[in-house]
Amino acid sequence: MLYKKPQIQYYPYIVQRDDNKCVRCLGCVEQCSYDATFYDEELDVLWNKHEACVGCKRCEAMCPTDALKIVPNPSRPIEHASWKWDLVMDAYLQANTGSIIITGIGNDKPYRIYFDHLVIDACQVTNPSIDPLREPMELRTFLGRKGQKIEITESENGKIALKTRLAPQLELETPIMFSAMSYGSINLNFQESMARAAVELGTYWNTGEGGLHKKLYPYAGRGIVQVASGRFGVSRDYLKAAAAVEIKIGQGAKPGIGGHLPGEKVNADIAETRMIPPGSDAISPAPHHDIYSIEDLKQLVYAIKEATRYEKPVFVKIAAVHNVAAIASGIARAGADVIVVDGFRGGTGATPKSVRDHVGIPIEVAIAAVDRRLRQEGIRNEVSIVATGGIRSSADVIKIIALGADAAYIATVAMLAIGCTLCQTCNTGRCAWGITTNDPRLARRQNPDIASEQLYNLVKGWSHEMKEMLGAMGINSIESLKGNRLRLRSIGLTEKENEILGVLPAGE
Amino acid sequence: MSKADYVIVGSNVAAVGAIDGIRRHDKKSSILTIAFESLGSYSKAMLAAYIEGANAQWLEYRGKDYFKKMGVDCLFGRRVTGLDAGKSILTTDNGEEISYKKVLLGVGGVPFKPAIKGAEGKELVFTFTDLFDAQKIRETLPRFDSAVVIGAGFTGTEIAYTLNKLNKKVTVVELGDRVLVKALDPRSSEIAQSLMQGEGIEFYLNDTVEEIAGNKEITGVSLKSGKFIPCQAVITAIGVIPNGELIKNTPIKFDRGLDVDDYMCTNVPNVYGAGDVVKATDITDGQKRSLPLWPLAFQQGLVAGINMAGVRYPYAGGLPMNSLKFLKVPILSAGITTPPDAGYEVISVSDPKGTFYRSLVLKEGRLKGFVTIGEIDGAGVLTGLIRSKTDISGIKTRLLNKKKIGLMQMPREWRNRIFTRRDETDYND
Amino acid sequence: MKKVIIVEDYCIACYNCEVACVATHSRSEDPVKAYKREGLRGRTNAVVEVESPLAFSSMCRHCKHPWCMDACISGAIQRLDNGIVYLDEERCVGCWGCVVGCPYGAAHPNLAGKDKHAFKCDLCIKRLDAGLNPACVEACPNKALLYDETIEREEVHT
Repeated sequence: MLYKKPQIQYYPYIVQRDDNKCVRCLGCVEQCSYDATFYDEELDVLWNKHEACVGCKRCEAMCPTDALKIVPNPSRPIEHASWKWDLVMDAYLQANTGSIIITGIGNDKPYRIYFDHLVIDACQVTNPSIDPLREPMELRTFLGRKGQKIEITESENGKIALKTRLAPQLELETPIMFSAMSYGSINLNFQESMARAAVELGTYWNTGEGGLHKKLYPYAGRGIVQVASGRFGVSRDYLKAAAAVEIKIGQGAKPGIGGHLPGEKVNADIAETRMIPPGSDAISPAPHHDIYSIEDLKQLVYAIKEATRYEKPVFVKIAAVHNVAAIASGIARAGADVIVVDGFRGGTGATPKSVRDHVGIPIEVAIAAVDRRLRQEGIRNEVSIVATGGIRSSADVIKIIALGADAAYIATVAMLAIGCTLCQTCNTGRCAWGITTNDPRLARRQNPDIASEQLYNLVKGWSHEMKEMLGAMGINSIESLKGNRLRLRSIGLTEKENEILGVLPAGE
Repeated sequence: MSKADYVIVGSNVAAVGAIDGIRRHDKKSSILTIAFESLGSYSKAMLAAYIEGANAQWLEYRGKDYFKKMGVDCLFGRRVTGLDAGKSILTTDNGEEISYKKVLLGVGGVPFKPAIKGAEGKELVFTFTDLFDAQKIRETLPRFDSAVVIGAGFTGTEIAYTLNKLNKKVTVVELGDRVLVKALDPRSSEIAQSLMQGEGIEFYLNDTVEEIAGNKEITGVSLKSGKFIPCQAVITAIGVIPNGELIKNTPIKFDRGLDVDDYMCTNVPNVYGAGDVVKATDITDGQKRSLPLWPLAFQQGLVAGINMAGVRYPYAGGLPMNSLKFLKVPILSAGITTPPDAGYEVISVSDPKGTFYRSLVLKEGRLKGFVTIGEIDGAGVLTGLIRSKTDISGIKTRLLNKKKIGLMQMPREWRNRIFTRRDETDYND
Repeated sequence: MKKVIIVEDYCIACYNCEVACVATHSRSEDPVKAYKREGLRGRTNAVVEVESPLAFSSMCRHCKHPWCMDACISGAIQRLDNGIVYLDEERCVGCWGCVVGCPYGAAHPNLAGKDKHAFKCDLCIKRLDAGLNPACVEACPNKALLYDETIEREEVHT
């Protein structure tokens, strides 16, 4: 306890070393970026500062002789049904610091996850299943405004041509895209990996609000660029290079508040890409200071369309909040081609813990509500809906499409694919896996050759699983699943919840 | 009269280098090696081990069937006594004549034997340069308990150390003011001397042997300083000089060493030279001198062989490198270790116990030589810096760290070339 | 000739290459036994150097014209037909000629051992014969060491 506050002793993790197996290679000392592992040369002993261990398990993963295990502190916290230990620790922390508790990743409170209460239909007898290995199964998705009708012309020699001029569309080979993670919250290696995987997969990646680094311009053709409240990196070349432009109003992890990248993290490269002076804080204000009404949003949407010659779809991203359906309706009427709804389980690099865990609503109900409202108003075809915020598996993608989305954005699971262990210290910039840090010593831990392959594998695997699930349902095109609530049933939900989601309980 | 396309006189390391060089480009022509040592190719640098008891076979440099594998005919136990440069014919000591197309003179050096009063007629007066010498010393080991070694260069210190290890009382007499004057700087000479004194070897510097006393049996030696050292054996280790015996009465230029051009060829076409017999360019100062060092002999032989096989390749000069392994603390050095004039910068570091010492000699920011004692891992990086003439002004203090010299201080782009090897680089990197 | 290519930008100083090298060249081929029972700590041919944020692991470059072979007085170092520059430790007499000769510092003196001899990377010749990659390449988790073709130029050196 020497020289420390007493509550530090209640640290959550212990670094357990099997000294019989430890060969003193000193890899763990080098790998630990939280100053929790040390080597005493005089005694030839490795020792740990357990209170500094954040449980990222990097040392455990890299130990060549399997000598390390990061385990929960065996000194168990007092069990109290109302006072869960994380609340207690938060109180201690706040008493010592007096400041906002900042954290990363997504919501860590045990709210009901509707995905885990929804089950998918399959064909038996009355309707044949389709074998995806023998028959074509289309996951191809088009995001963009669809008209009310299509007129075609037929010439004398029987050639068919399209008469209606279509709004610009993004063509995805699979309805899964890489969600927005800014350069500054993550590093270039990770962005490059997502970009390369997106190109290989025939889908898209998102630059996030940190601008588009010049090194990534070759991948901009499959990139969706973000115009967020700080307008970082928004230049003519930025808009020109992209496949689509996304106006970010909010994100699920921190609805209603802005973003903040501390000045010490703004190095020369990040500063250049964001178009701000190096070392200055990069603050994204809560509202866009030129968007105070839906009419203002419409102005920005059309300003971007004008600037991009109406050649690219304009996305608008909002956090899922109480009035999400009405807001989405307004956004559709404001001219957006795609609405992105980010549920409250979405992740982030830095947010106040109180906002992350208590603000916003789940994506499942949000999508169900938005889809139903837009259909009721007869304008569902005017926009595509992309769902995000805690999409964890291929089954989640199927379910969210069945609830009304056209496609899903993934981010947290993309980080898992390249090594993240959800230690929730992204905001420190010391990510030992080299993901949410721009420290050159750490960022090199993500080799784009390896990471892009891992991301590719993830989405490829999910796509294949989705084909299997679609085939099981007797559907051969993802189009047929969109908003098709009848292919879902719920287990253990209340009548009202079923009504909101628009699904029947299993058995009915 | 027999004939061969290539004839190599000598069978030691320069010869092996030449055979390697020829065979890289000419796998068919005939090669004949003639040497008076019947062992063939053996490592002279390992003779100390032989004296300690290793058997002669173990000294073989490239193994028993090296010559056979390389398609080389061997004539061992035969001395070449005559060379007719005009007719391209060699004569051996039994009158045999051998005609060649190209010949390599790898005859090596002979020990410099000054005339010492009283040396005549005494059996236990030795030199220590070849196997014959080593055999004589080893056979007579039981006949002496103490010895005086004249000369504190490599050979001298090594034989002194070896005999001392075999429990002989050894005294070293050196003309200069310090030991190992060619390889080391004053401070490291001091360290080397004290390491040897710690083993029981005695030294007399600034002195020389004037007379060897005794009749058939040696009783001792008298030094110039007046001191008399009782002993039963004397070993002269003053150095080797190029062996010009064969060159006498030929038009081949030889001036305290065989003169060869950048392609290892003498002034007579088709007559090449390599090894201890030649005067080679010392890359530290561009001067030509006799550099009887193992790695240089091999390289010279290799370059000679390549040129003999018809491929024109220049010899860029040799960098003297030294390794003293027999001391308790190893000492490695290369290049100019003691600056000849004031145009050089010397920086060094040491610990008081003398188990770590490192000194760098620079000129115009470039490394010209170094000595490192104790911490020797990575010393080759310093040798590389001398060869490449890299400006080390920015990193010279780092190179004095008491630890293994690695590659971290080298320029990033140099490392990139070495590490990725997409295009193997020149030796000058 | 295929050699170990070092990609400096992706070395994360995890030291797995060192442990793998020690293990592969031990009797037991087990890393824990190699370090603790066979006393092979420090006997790695692949050596990691770190100066944050830079790091890399380097080993013998198996030069076409090896300086170490020129300097070897006992003939312990030979260039094999497959191109590997091989140091036969049993033949080595510990003269350290290779140590002072190699410009990459790839020949290491085994000063602590009872038998004083040098050691250096052998491109995992035993593993190559079995169709496996060199141990360091296989162990590297971040593709900072690759086993791939290199281009060699024809020349000699001094």
